[in-house]
Amino acid sequence: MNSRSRRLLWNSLAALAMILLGPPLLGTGGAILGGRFASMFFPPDDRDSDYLALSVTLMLENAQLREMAAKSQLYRSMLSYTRMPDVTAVVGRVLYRSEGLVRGDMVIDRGSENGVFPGAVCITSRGLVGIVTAAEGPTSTVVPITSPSIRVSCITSISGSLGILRSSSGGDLILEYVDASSDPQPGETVLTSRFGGVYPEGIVVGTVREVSTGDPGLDLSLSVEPAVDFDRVGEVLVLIEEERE
Amino acid sequence: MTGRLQGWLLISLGVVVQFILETTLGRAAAAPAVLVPLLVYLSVSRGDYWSIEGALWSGFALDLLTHQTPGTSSLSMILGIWLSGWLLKVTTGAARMTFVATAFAASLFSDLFFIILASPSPGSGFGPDTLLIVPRIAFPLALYLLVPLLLTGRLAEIGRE
Repeated sequence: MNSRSRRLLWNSLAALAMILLGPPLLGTGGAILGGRFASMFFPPDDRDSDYLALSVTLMLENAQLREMAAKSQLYRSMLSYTRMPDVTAVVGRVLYRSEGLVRGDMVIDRGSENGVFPGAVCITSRGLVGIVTAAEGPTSTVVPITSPSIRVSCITSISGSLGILRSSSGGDLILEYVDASSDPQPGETVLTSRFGGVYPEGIVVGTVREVSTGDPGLDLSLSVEPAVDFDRVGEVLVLIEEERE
Repeated sequence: MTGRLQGWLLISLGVVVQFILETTLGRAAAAPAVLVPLLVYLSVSRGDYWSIEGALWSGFALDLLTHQTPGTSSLSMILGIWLSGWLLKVTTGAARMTFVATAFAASLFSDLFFIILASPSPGSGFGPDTLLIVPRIAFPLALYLLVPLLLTGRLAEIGRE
């Protein structure tokens, strides 16, 4: 094989090698050189990743603080009810609700371990929820005022009409045995009265929706729109008397 | 200036011209083939070095410029020029048309090899457009024949140094 043939062979092989190895070599080399070239104008900065991690941390903290602020506002409005002597309160979260009795009993995550006792009153920021009927260990059962077994002594805010609040079988609240000489009007706020002895005075129960004459015709019967949305109760405040505690 | 430097400058110029023609007209659209005839010209007049080394590096440069797989043009030109020379050995080599015939054959084989090498799968690049190779090759060679003929009344002559 003369030198021309040898050169021809080697150059052909070199061209073939270029075809096979050229694209990956050029790609790799181009990427490296491109990175170097770009780093001349945009030097890598470790602070960027630190800032990113910090911003994520701050975002998470911000979300937590927003949630805490929302809860704080709710609790603050709840606690305004407890500004009375000898009464403290614990916040309970509704764990689940039992079926039946119109709305069903509520089981909360505070019980006798937390000072909750049968007969303790439960409220929310909107008004009266019900009464604790059983407190065992870490949980207790709250019967809402929409249960037919509950009776509450109430008074209307403007006319001062006294009556007994009960729940009909359909779940509507009715203020019964109201003196016919009083002049209750729809829209008046219904509050707990001081005569019952169970519920503290002045807790909002609802508003008068309709005024009608009772069955014998001697008294008035008021249909009451409850202040609390019992379908959406998530947290309640259980009022505890300090003496009892 | 040494002969080799002259040759490389000439090849560089040929690569640039071929690159401009192919980027403006496209290889498949009959951009005139300039580089292979130039390499054949140098090979005939100055030795086989130019048909081997010149083809390798000019093809590499052209591939980089046209974003082809590097080495495709190199190998196709090396093989095309070699094959044309091998085939045309059977002629006497004394005819005036030796360069034209060699350049035509070399360009033709180079383009065919290029289509084979540059196709995604072997042979898939062939089609009706393959016929455009002929005018692409014939046009510059016709100019090579006609211009001296019109100006001097004689065909150009090529001889080894």
